[in-house]
Amino acid sequence: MIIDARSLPDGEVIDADICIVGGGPAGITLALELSGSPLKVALIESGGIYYEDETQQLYKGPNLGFQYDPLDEARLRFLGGSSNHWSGHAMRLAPVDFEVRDWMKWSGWPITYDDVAPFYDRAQPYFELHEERPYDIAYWADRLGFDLFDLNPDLLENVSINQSPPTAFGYTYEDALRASENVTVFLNANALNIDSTSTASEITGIDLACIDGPRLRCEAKRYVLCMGGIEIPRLMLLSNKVQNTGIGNGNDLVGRFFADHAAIRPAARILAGRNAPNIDLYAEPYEFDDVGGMFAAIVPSDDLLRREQIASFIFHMFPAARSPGDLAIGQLTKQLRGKGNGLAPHIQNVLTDLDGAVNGIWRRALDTRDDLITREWVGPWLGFECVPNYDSTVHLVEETDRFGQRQIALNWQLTDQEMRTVKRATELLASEISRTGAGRVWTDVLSEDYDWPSFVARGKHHCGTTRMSAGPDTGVVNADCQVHGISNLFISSSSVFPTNGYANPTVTIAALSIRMADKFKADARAGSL
Amino acid sequence: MKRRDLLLAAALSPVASLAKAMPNPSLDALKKIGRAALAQGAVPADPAALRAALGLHRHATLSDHTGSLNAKVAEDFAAGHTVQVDGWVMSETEACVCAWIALQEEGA
Repeated sequence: MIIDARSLPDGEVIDADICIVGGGPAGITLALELSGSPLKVALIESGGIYYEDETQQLYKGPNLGFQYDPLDEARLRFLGGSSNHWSGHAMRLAPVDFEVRDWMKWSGWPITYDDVAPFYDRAQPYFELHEERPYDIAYWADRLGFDLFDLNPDLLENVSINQSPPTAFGYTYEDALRASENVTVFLNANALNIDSTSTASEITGIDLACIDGPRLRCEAKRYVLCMGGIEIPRLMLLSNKVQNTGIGNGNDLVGRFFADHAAIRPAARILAGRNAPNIDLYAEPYEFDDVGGMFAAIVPSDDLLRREQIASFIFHMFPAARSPGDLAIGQLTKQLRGKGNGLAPHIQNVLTDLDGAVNGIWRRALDTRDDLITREWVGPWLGFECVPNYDSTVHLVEETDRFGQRQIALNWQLTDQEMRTVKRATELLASEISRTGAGRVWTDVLSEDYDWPSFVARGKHHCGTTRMSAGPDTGVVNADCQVHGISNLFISSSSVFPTNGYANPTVTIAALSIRMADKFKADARAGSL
Repeated sequence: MKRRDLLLAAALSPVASLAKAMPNPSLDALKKIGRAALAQGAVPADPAALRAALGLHRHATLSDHTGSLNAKVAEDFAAGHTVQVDGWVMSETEACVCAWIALQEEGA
C-alpha cells in the first residue's frame, strides 16, 4: 500500500514491526524482501512519487572541504531515491576490499566477501541484470567477439561491469509496493528525530513531519535507516535528546570517515597501437537483447592491493573523442601551452588534425608504408578509492532547513594517499599498455608538480559515515548493521562501508538489505524480534 | 633524409612504438626526448655509463643490439622500469636509446 502521509491526521502514530526510513534502493529492497512475511512494515519516504523542489531543498548544506557537488544536487529525495539518477553500473566489491590492509589505517570489515556473496546473487534481479556468469569477463568478451587487453594478472585485471537499464526503484517497484499486504509506504514524511529510552539503548519512536502538513510518529520493534551517507548521520546527530552528541554517537564516529569515489577524467592519453583490442566493449555498455548488459574496465588485482600501499582504482577506457574529452582536450592543450614545453602544438595537431600530414611525416622519416591515421586516441578515466580518513566529515551547522532542523556540512578531505594511488595506477596502466603493444601513453599525472585538477569527478557515493566495525571504538554499526549499543536501530546504506574499493556501491547496498531482511525474518521466527 | 639519419632509422627498432606515437614522428623528435631525458637526469649523462646501461659493447652500434634492446624494453615495462619524459611514459631503455641518439648527434 502507498499512502500520502499528508492525508493522515495530525498526531497519528504509525505502528509497525519494522520501520524503514528512506525509500531508495536500500529501503525498497529491504521492504520487498519483507513483503509477504508476517511482519508489518512501514516504509517512510521524505518525497513523493515525483521530484519536488521544496523537498529536495531539505538536502541543502554547505561544502567546506575538497571540491564537491552542491549537496542538494548530489542525491535525489523522492521514491526510488538516488536510483532515479544513477548510471546503472553494477559491480561487486572485491574480496580484498573487506580485508584489513596493515598500511591502511581503519581498513577491514567485520565480515568477508563470502559473507555477502550469496546476497550479491540475490540482488542481481533487483537491478534487472543478467544472471548468467554476470562477472565473468572472459566468458562474455569471447561470446560477444571482443578481445580484451592482455594484462599481467598479477598487476591489473579486466572486469565486467554489469549494466542495469538503469533501474529506477520507485518507478520499477511502485506497483509491487502498492500491492503488498504487509508493507505500507508513507510518502512525504520527513524523519526529524529518533527517540530512545533514557539509556539510549533502545529506540522508542521516530518523529515525522510533512511539509505544511501533519506531524506524525512511527513506533516499531525495529528501525532501519536507509537514507544516504549524509542524511543518516544528520538524523543521528540531530537526535540528541538523550545522548547529547547524537544517538549512537558515544564515540564521536558518526559523520566521520566520509568517503566517495573520485575520478580523474582523463588520467592519460593513449595512442592505440595496431594490436590494441577493439575498445568498444570498454567504451560503452553492451546491451543484451533479453536482460542486462555489460562493459569492461581495468582494475587492480587483489594481490597488487595486498602487496602495494595503494587504494583501489578503476580505468574506463573511453575513446578520447567520445569521453567528455572535447573539454578535456582543450584543458590539456591549455595546460601544455602554459608549461611551454613545446609539446602543445604537436598534441594539438594530432588531436585536431588527424590527416595525412602525420602519416606523410612518418613515412618519410622511417621509409615505411604504415599509416598512423587509422589509430585512435583513448582517454582513460581513472576512478579511485579514498582511504578511511577520520578528518573527512559531515557535521551539523547553524543554518537550518524549513523544519528548523540544522543543516549538515560536508568537509571532504583527500590525503596524500589518494594522490599516491592516482600516480601509481597511472604508472601501472602506462606500463601495461606499453608492454603489450596496445599503445603509447602520454600523461601529466606522473610529473612531480602534478596537483589535483580543477575538476575532480565525484561518484556521489557517500560512504563511511556510520562505518561497520567489530566494536564501538572503531565504528558505528556491527557486522549485522545494528548500531553498537542500541538493540533495535539498524542501518542499510553505503554509509556503513568502512572502505569502498572501486565498485559503485548500489549492488552491495541491496545485498546488505537482503541479508538484513533474512536476519529479521529469522529473528521473528525465533520470537526475538 | 641524411645518410646518418637513415643509419639511425635502421637502429630505431627498440623505440619504434614510441616513435610511432609521437605527434610528429621523426628522428629530431626522438633526439629531443633524448635531450630532455638527459636534462632531467632520467638517464646517465656520461656516454660510457649510457653505453653500459644499454649493454652496448665497445664500438658496437644500436643496430648491432636491436634484439637485446627490444627485449630490454619489454622487460622494463614488465618490471615497471619506466620514466616520464615530456609527458610520454617510456621504458628506461627507450629513454637511454633516445639519449644515445641525441649524444651521437652532438658528437659525444
